[in-house]
Amino acid sequence: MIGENAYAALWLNAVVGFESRKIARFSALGYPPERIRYETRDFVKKFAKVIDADAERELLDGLDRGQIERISEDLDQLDMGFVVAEDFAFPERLRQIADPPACLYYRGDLALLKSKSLAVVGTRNPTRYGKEVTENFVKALSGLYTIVSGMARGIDAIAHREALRSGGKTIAVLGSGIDRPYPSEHVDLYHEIAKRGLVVSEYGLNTGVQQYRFPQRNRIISGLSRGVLVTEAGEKSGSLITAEYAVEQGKELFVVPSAVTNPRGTGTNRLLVKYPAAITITPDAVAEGLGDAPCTKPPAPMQLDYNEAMIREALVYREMHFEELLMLTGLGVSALTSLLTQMEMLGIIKKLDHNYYGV
Amino acid sequence: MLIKLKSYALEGLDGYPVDVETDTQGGIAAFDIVGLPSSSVKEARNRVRSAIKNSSFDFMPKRVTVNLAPADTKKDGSLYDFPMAIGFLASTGQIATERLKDYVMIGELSLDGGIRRVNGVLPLLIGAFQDGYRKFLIPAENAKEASYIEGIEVYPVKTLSDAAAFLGGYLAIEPVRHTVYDKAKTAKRYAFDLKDVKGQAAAKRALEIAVAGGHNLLMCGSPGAGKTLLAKCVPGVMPDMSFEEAIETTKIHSVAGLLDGEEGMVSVRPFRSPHHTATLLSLTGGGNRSTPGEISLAHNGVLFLDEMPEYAKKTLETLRQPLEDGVISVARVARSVEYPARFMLIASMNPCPCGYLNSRLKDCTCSEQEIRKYRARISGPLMDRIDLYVEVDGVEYRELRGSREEESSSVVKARVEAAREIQAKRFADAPMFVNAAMGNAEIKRYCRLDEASEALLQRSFDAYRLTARGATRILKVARTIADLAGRAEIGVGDLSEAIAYRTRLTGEL
Repeated sequence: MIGENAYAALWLNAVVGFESRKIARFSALGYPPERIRYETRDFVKKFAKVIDADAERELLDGLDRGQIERISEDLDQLDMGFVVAEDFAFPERLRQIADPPACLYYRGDLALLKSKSLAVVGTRNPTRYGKEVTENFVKALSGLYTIVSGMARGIDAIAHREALRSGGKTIAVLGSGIDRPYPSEHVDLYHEIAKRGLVVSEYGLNTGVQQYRFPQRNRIISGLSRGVLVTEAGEKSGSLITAEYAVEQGKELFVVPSAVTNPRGTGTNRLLVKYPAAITITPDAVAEGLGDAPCTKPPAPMQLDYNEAMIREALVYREMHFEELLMLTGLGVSALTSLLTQMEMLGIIKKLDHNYYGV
Repeated sequence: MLIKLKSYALEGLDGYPVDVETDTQGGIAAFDIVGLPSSSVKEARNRVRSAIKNSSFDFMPKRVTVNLAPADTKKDGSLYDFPMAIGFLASTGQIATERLKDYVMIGELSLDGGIRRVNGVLPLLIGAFQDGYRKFLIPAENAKEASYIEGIEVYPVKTLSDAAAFLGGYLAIEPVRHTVYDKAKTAKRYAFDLKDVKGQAAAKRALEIAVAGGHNLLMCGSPGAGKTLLAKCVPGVMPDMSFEEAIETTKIHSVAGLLDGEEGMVSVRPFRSPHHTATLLSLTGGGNRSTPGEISLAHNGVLFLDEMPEYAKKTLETLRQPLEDGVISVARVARSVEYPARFMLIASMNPCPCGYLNSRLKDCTCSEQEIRKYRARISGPLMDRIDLYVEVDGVEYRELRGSREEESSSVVKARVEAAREIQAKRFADAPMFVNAAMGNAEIKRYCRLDEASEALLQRSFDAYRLTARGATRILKVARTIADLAGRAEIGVGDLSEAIAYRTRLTGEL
């Protein structure tokens, strides 16, 4: 059920058709939803230029309690809720951004909006490097921060999944309607986040997917968080927009460098040219940048025997193929396979694709 | 005059005796065959007529009735031509009758009076032998096949005239001489040897373990990595077929008409690799004449499914039964025939539809969804039957090549045979031959772990989200690894190596 004070906002968004930003702007100009509800005629006259014909008609018809309650029930049925900027649950930092949302639809644990958050964004088509970096950073930082992202393909999805896998919390800010997870392959992820974290959207039930809404939601991703981490981005990546919002909103920006030969890292590298101070190479740097203590524990000293030490040292230097390791250690195939499996189980090394091993 | 001759019918790999009764009466000329003959049997009348005339005998116009008893089973094949012709000749007084009842006769007739080969002679003779028959007249072209059976007298005949002369006592024919099955001769016959495969140490080891314990194997790798080549080396590493196995395999190939007339016996383990567009029928067997399918032809050998995800789901589903029981039931109209189908399954697949997921050589062009759908095709009951999973990579090692001595197949085979010996002793009183066939009771008995190994297994449950099923697979493989090393107890090394071969494709292990 939504609160009384939210009725007017819900009416304006779901029935009249004003987007959340528009409602916020009217609020800023002295016409919060309640006032529009009770002084409709004046409002319509004053803002005639920015109200279209359909919206005007709905406004003049007035707020129908029954209709609003039905919408509210629909939301309940889907375990969804609606929160307005005045509500206690709405975080201050989100109210403070330029062009804030007046209201949000949500599904999941609303309290997460106020938790310490870090946005993690990046390209929709990451390289293995980008995947690895994102996983490592999120694994280390999800203990301290709620991970916020857009549930898009690529880095966003990896960040959400790693946060869940590590037992941390995550918020997904959708560019589509709250009931329409986009992209459709992420429907499982959507439900998982709704169950264990929080999904929010400025757009309500039965709203379609429109391209312009994606850059728009990026301001919320940044707005909710204390800082934005970009792990890998190409030249035209949407995550660069999120990075710019971070700067604009005065949030901390953390950018991980890529190899200069990697075309999918051109965006992040260019960001670094623009904001050299944003360069980040360890999760600890993120935590320190946000004013917290370092998050990673120094690794416990490992007891390795002769062969294990030799293998580990070699793999720290670079990934090696099984047969290279055969030559290196002089062990038989059987003995090496068992040794590598045991080392893998203890977390000393990792087995990669195509019979390669690394750390 | 009424003449009764003995022939034989084959159903699957077994058969039953058929009486060929010929009765000649006066009346309007006719040649009727009764006893539910199929079209090819009915056509025999034309072949018999021409063969007789062209053998300088007389095909006088008589009312002839040939009954193939028992009359209520369908008769098929061309093998009754010969006894029908002899029946006619005897019935019309053209040849003597005293010796006829001693012989079982089978053969197809050419119009010129020659006797042609038929399929299934070996199983037929074995069946007849088990039913008590000892003397046979068969086509000369089938003689080699028959030579491997001891204790019977088999006379090869080339023409109808020869046969008639023999039966009349005018012509002596040498019975087929018994050939002793020589295991050792088979060693040179395999086309692909492991020493021709460079590198691939991990995959070769997995292959060795698979063959030693009879475990099914799945190879995953990019195109051109060498999966098919490795699979083709497998028959050369499998232990030589025993006489019983060779007979079994030959019987099936004989029924399918695939026997090489020269050798007469299949002594090399079969390697069947049906294309993924093969029909369900060609794989399982059946159809009008209940011919054995690919999986039966692979009996005692290898069935190789290249690009397993490309096979129709239904097709893969039908493999479940034979992998479990070692036989396949092929249904005919009236009854069903059972063919043996105990084979080692080797399957290959790519990591994704384009084949280059995570490859260091090429970029993968598949979307996440395509990869997921592709992988989903291999999950399920078939994966449950696969004990070993290994990645075959196409990595080039210019520095490593030439510097390593590659073992030949015969060296690996020797180790495999030693491991099989151990299993033969272990399962002497049990219904299985290899470790892969162990059930829970046997695993409990033969795969006991010491403390250190127990701890390791427990750790892998945590580290790899192992399931109970995955654990039994690992234990069976560990048992084989220990056998290959000649160890009576499974050690930590054996277990950890076995864990390395778990599948990394699906969520569960």
